[in-house]
Amino acid sequence: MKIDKSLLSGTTVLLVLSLLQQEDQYGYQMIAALSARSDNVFQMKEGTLYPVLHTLEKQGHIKSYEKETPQGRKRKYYRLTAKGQRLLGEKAAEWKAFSQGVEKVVSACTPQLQPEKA
Amino acid sequence: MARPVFARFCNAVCEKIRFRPDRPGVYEELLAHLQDSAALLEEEEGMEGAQAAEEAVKRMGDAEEIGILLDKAHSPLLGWLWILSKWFLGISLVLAFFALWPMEELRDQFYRPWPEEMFHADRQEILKQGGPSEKARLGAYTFQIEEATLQDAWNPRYPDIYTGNYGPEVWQTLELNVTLRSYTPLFYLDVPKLSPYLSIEGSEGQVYLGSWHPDADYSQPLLQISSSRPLFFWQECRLTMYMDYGQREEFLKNQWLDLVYEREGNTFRIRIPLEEVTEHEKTS
Repeated sequence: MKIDKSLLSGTTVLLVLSLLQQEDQYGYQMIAALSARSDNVFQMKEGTLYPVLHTLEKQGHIKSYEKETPQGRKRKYYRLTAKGQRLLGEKAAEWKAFSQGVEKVVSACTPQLQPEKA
Repeated sequence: MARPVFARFCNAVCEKIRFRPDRPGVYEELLAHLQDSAALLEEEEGMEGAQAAEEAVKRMGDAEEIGILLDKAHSPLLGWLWILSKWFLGISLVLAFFALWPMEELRDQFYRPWPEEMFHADRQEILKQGGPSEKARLGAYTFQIEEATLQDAWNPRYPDIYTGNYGPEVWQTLELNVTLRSYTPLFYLDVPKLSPYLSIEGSEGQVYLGSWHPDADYSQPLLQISSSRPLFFWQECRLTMYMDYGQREEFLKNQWLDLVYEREGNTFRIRIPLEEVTEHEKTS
């Protein structure tokens, strides 16, 4: 199912911080993880991840370091900072409240959207 | 070497980033992503190299749009402020170092005493000694005589290297030793070349030249530089003059001695600090 871009952009920060809470990751790894963990619901344009990462890094929520692969290639890994951990907590709480609110409203309206029984 | 299609994409993104110092890092990161993406497409979906590359670029999205978003994250104002603040901090530390730490204390951290065996004689009797002298300045350099001694020394005679014959048991000389230091806070300057331009002038009117001077007369006492040791910001020269017994009395008539430097009109003169010593100091 294709998700509306505006919905995705509002939650990208939360998604990125959640992924980095598990382990340090590099850009492509995060794209692949997002897709895999969401059962392919989140399939964003891959390049749009980097503005989010760089903004979070400038704000101090994540920090980057370089690591060399066994093949000799250098990859830029990102790690969650303590400040980023706090932001993740705030965003997660915000999302929980938001999604629960949406769910309540949609559920209340659902009977009107049910198809009429023959 | 990056595929042309990757390079075109990365360049198109980076062109939108106004803060140029950050462009190489962004370029490398995007390129690494494209290479990983294309490699996976080749491996898992069996695509050919060129096709996988095209697909990898397509999946990245619009280069211009990504570049504009990245430009917002890489503010030129903050970027240049950060670079300037690092330079300012570095320069401030260097200036603070020169301003706060007295040169003499810094010098002492690096000072290595002369090995005494270099100047060993069988017996020595110090007649006069003193130091440090007044300072003299020439250009960026400051000169000062750290210490000076005038002493009688009794040296053992060694066998003649050609005949093997021993001379008299001891050989008395009058020695003048002057330690001259030159320093400059401008650490990038070379140590000054002193030896060809130094001489000693005495109150009796005699001029003692260096042994390297073109007019040097080897029948007269000559100034020698025993060694010159560049230290951190300093150069240290040990100047020595030996006088045989016959020249000794003439030399001792001088009421004062000046160390003179002269080169192409640039000159400085420092009074060599020498004072009579007590009986106790003579052989200490």
